[in-house]
Amino acid sequence: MDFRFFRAMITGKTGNIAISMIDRNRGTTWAGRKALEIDPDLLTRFAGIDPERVIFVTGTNGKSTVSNMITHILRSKGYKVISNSEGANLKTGVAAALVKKASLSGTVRADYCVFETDERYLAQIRDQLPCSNLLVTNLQKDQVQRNGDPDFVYRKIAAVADKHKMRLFLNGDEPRSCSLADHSDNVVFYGVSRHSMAFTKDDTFVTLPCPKCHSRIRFGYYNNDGMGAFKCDRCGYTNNNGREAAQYRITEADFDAGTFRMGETAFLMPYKQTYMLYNYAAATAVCRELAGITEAESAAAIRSFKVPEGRIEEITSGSQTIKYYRFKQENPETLQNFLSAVAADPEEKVVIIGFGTVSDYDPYYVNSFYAFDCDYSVLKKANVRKYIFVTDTIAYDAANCFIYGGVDPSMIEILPTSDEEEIFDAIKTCGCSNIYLNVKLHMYEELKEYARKEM
Amino acid sequence: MSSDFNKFNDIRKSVKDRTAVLSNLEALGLPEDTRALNILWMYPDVLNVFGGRGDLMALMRVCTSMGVPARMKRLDHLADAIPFEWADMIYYASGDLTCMEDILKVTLPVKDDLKAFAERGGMIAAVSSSGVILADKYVRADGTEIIGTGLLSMTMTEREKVHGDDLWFRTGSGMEVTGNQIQLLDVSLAEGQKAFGTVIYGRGNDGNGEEGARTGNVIYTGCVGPVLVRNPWLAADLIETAADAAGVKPAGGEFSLPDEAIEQELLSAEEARAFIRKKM
Repeated sequence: MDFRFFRAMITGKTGNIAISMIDRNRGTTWAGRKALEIDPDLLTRFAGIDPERVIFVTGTNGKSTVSNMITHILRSKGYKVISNSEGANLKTGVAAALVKKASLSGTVRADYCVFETDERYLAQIRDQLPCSNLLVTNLQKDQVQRNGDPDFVYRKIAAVADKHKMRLFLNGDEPRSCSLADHSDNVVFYGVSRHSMAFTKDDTFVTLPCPKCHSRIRFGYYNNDGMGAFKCDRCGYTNNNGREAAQYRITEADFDAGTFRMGETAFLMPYKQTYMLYNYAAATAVCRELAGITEAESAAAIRSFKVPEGRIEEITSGSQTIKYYRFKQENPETLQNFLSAVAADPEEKVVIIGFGTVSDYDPYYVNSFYAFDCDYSVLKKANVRKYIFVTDTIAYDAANCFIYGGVDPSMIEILPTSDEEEIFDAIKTCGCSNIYLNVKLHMYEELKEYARKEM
Repeated sequence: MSSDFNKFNDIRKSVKDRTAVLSNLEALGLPEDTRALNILWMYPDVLNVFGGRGDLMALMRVCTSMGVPARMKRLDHLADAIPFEWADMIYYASGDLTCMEDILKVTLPVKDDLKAFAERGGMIAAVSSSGVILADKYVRADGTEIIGTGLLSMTMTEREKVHGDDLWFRTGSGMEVTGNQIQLLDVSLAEGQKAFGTVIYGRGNDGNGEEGARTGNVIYTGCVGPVLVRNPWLAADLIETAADAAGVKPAGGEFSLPDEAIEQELLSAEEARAFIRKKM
């Protein structure tokens, strides 16, 4: 065995033990980072990995949820799975998961490996770690400070698919990621049939350029923002890359009953958001193709699935229920999903919005332009009593986006502060028990702490 | 303030296809045959990044606040002929770099018409990556050179890394503009080409203190935000220039954007400057 690899494994494993003794919630990447510092080729040295039983899950939205769901279904069938389910999706996170679960000699004793991988680091990880399967959830506008335009990420993923001849699992209803099918001979499509919450947008909204010919993509309807029935005006590119139907397609979604079907199998939805349908379809497709798990078996497992922490949460403070939806700055789809959740609840509510500073990379900056892709008309009948815009960096601008979207300015209160105590006070005194919160995760965690103290 | 703009949201319900025209004539109480400022929204689905849609919304909103009759039309397909005779303002929002070559393929054959349009006072504005349409040339990361229409004497060169940050600059007429810059291309102005503004904070064209380019009514800026939403005073300036050239008069006789119509944006700009000052 390579001495550097052995030293890296020793360091990583002892580090893992030490960290878990201090705080079990810390150190998702530390061991990986240290091990890679000692042996940069660490990922190439593990033994016992069958590439056919490894899947990378990448894309803009849904990576963590889908990889966690796949892992959950596989484990429910008794399979031993290695995954970076704590959400550390760079090379260090993948390394940390393998260091933790492999033997000291580097032998991986698992039936399957499920790794969420950041779009930009996919090539780096795949170059070192054998893997025959790649799931791309969707490719949307996101993190423009590092990606520029969405095509940048598309080109990176396409290059990986070309180089490594991987089997692709693709969302057949999302134009950009669906067209990655041109980069593989082995493609599994999943999708969702039109459902009762599908919507249309008129021509004052924009869609996207065709990934094949750069002409105009039109949507017949959207099942979720950016996903639905689409067609290119010029080259005719359409759902499932022209295939008649996705192999794994959800039908008969009933949001009141919380049910849907795939083929002959009835599923119960633990989460009723429209975007979750695509996650259920993706996970079911992967588990069937990789492990032969039937739709009925997936349906049984999905009933007990819990989304990773910090995505959709509810906290109670006194008589108030605060509903938090994770919101990714610079990503219109997560904002639209939040707006849809607000609209879907008929009860009267107060909505708190805090766009905040984009602090993923240096320099930190503020922006709100992604909000102009969203359709605020869903709020017209959403029974919102008041909107409160917070943060000391961009509250007025964020409020202006909503005003542009048609929200009545008299319903808007601006609280230009990032002080969590002040914001929590505003929530307490807003006179409504039903609160929807759309702020960055850090602010939510602080507010949750205030709520905990109040109890 | 919002009631004017809600008209946009009401009007949009009637929009069915590419022949769509948005108009504020009804909101201004003007007859349908009123000579209005005709704004052409170029390839909205193709040039779809960084909230460019907001700029077009801002143009309509500010026109309404100023009492300037306006119509807006989408040009959806690259194969569609540009209606030069109809338009008074041609607006290119930002888009994926990979689309620019296709846009240039259809624009270069009508380059002379575009120049003639600008020479007779038509306003042409391009934001961020769409500047390559107006530039002399665009140099891709692999060194390939793509010839632009040359309406502005500048070269745009693809960067290895995106530069994303706030941007604060002052235009040649002294107007302060704040927004963002998601810079995929560095801009180098040829000798004699005037910049659009001078950078107060941010990278601007290539870090040399210049921002954008302007020749007469042809304008390029790297500022997004959407720049016209965050800076309605800039929208008002573009509208006044274009309307003046087209002989379109505001309902009140004078071009003026009331402060009460932009209260939110004034507060937003102050908030942005305060945030940026902490970085300076």
